[in-house]
Amino acid sequence: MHLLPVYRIRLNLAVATLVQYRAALIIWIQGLVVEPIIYMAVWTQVAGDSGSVGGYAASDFAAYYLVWMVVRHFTVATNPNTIERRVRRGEFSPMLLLPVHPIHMDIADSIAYKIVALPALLVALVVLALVFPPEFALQSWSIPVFLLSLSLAFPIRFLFGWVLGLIAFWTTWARSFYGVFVVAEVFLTGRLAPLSLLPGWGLALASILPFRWMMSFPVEVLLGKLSLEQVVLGLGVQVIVLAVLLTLLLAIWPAAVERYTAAGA
Amino acid sequence: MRYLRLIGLSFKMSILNELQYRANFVVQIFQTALELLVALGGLSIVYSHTSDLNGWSASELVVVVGVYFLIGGVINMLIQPSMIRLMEDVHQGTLDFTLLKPVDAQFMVSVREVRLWKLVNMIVGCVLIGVGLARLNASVDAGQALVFLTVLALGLLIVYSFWMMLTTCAFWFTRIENILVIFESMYEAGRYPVRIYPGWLQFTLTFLVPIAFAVTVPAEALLGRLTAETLLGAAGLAALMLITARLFWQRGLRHYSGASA
Amino acid sequence: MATVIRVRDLARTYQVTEREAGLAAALRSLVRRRTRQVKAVDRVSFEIDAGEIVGFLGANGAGKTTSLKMLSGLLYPTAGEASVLGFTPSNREAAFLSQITLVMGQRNQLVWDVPAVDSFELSRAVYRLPRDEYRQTLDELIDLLDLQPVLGVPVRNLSLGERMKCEIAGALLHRPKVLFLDEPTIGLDVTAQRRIRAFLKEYNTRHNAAILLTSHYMADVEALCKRVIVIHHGHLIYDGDLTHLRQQFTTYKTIVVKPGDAPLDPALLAAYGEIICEEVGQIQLRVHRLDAARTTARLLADFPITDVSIVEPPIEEVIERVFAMPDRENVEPEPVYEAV
Repeated sequence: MHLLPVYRIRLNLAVATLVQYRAALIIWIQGLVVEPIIYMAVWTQVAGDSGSVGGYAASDFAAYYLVWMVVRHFTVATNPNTIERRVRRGEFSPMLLLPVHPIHMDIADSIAYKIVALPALLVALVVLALVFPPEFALQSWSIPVFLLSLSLAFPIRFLFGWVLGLIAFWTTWARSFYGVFVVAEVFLTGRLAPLSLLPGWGLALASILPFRWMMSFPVEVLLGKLSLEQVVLGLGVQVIVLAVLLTLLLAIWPAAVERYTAAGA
Repeated sequence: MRYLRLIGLSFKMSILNELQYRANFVVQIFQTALELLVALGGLSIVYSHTSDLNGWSASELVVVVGVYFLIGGVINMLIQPSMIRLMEDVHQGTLDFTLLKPVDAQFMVSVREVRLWKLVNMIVGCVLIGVGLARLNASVDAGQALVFLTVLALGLLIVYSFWMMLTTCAFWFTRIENILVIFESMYEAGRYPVRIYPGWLQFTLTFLVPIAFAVTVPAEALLGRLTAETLLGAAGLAALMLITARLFWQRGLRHYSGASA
Repeated sequence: MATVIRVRDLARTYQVTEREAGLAAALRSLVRRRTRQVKAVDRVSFEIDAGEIVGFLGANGAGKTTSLKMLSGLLYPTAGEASVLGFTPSNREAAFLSQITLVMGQRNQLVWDVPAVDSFELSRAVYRLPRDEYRQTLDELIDLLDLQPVLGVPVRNLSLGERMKCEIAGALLHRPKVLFLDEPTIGLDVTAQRRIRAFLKEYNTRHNAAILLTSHYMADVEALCKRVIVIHHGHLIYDGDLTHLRQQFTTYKTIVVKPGDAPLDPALLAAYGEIICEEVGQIQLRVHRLDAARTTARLLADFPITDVSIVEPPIEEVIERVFAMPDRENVEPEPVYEAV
């Protein structure tokens, strides 16, 4: 396992870099907090009139968006735009000279971010939980299964973004394309609202595409909105999605590199 | 007069610059369409579960979203680009050149860049306002329009001052680009009238990050919900923030040049 | 002649953050940062007259740029006084700024995607230059720098040399009386360097402007500056003629020996001085400045030599020796090569 020392060293480096930019970390947490607060406030208003919406009472929304923050924090991944920029500016060249696949560096950097910003996240969670008191209906298996689905959601989101980023090797319009992805993500990963509040076809679309499995699913698990069968099935789908994405990456990457080097970068 | 000429020349240069990348125009239309999709899609999901959000109807919220796009377009066209440039200049040390010019430095750094294509957002905003008002069967008389434009201008002054203060932080914290995220994520809150948020958040969005005065208040002016107190408050806050931003900028410059701040 | 720059005991201290390597130290620094004071410029005094071109020399980090920034009003001195054209630079009055300019070879101020002449137009408004005066200055600059072919081309499409010429022209449109030039020729090829040098000389004579110039290229300094100021670890260690710099900082000369028909054994020569270079048909010996004549005579007497010459060390080497010195407190003559 020659990769382990690479990860260890890169992680150390990334952490050492990140801690120098405390302000940037605080800003990240701020961005992470504001979005759910908006949705929480809106949905609490909507629920306030009739008591609950689609099975969610105000305290359910509070719980939903708290878990949402945790999942979002731990699934944050390399942005496709970063990959596009690397292609455009030729920044991939030095990376391709290393005997390690560049994705490992990105994974290590991403993990470093999660570690360094963790204390701030915890503070934000505690404060928010005090302002919007949540209510959880935990099963005995909820927490371990949540952790399992979260640890599948991160690589799914990471690989999805990365594979999407590879489009930039073929077209200069990749950035516009990623915009579509962001919009889809807002609606279909459960960022805007729990997927069950979407029209039926929305939930179906989110489940067919990988969107539900990169964010919404772990939240649903911890909120106890799913039966055991649904949970097991979901975990199975997560594994399949992950395998598909991994296969895609392995299939496309060599072609991307070939194209990059042929372009004389 | 001279300052107007400088604005003109500075903008002209920035526009000349941008005209060379005409493909960006298409990209902008596409991007605006996506933003529109998110905003209206969100509204339609919310209003599929209720017909009234704390006293605001769906059509009234279309007006709010219209103002949100209009103001967002102005901010992204006129305010934000110069501020981003300022951060970069501080970072790379090219701000020095601006400071050596015999012109007020705050003025110069505030008018350096324009993003012409953001006009698309402004147009979309105006259309949405029109659609919303039409669905409400509301008529806007000249007086109301004037009040609307006044609060719009006050809102922009407030947002400008806010941006100026944020950007001035770059003198102390070098890696401040991320601060964009603060404003952009907070600005999203403006898609809904700030009155629907809990009290502490309303306060934040009114005085700390002045989204309320930028979006909600102008929308209220159009919908006949504006009170005289709010109008006076907007004027007072605009004056206060302009002065504060000025003083803070001067303090930032003193820090930058190493004078004991 | 009128003194345009007057600097007395000028000093600038920076605070720098430091921490050890490693993850633990990095995390510790999240909470507390250790800082240290660094004296970038330490009690420097000098005066420059109108029409003078002064070379400002020093290794990287010696305090050159810091000094230039204090003189142009970008940095506030920690102590001491500076006066440029009768103004205190750090007040940054419009009247002061309209008479100076700062060119930084590593930073651009022209707008990247439009032709330089559009950027110039903005400068005209900024400096409130009357149209005919502006036209006249621009024509002069176009002529001297040979800018005509490049004026209408977007700056990004210019070569480095052309871009620098445009940068310099843009910085001089308001006919400044004092020019601060920080590495104006950095990265340029020899032809472009020569062109800029000639231009600066010409501008200096025509407008009697004072120029304070830093450069890593000694050719710039030798061609332009009669006088140099050397700054080392923030201290001023030399202010005077370029030619005297050699005598002050090098105690040696080089003797170039060309042997006759019979090859010379270098080992024998080693007794006369330090052998620094040994090629076919030529051996270079380093000897103490004062012994040069005597050693030459002895070499001629002792060996069958066709030609011998005494050479001053090149200015680069002198500067290199100065820069390599530890600090002012330790400045001492270099070891003397014992003559035999």
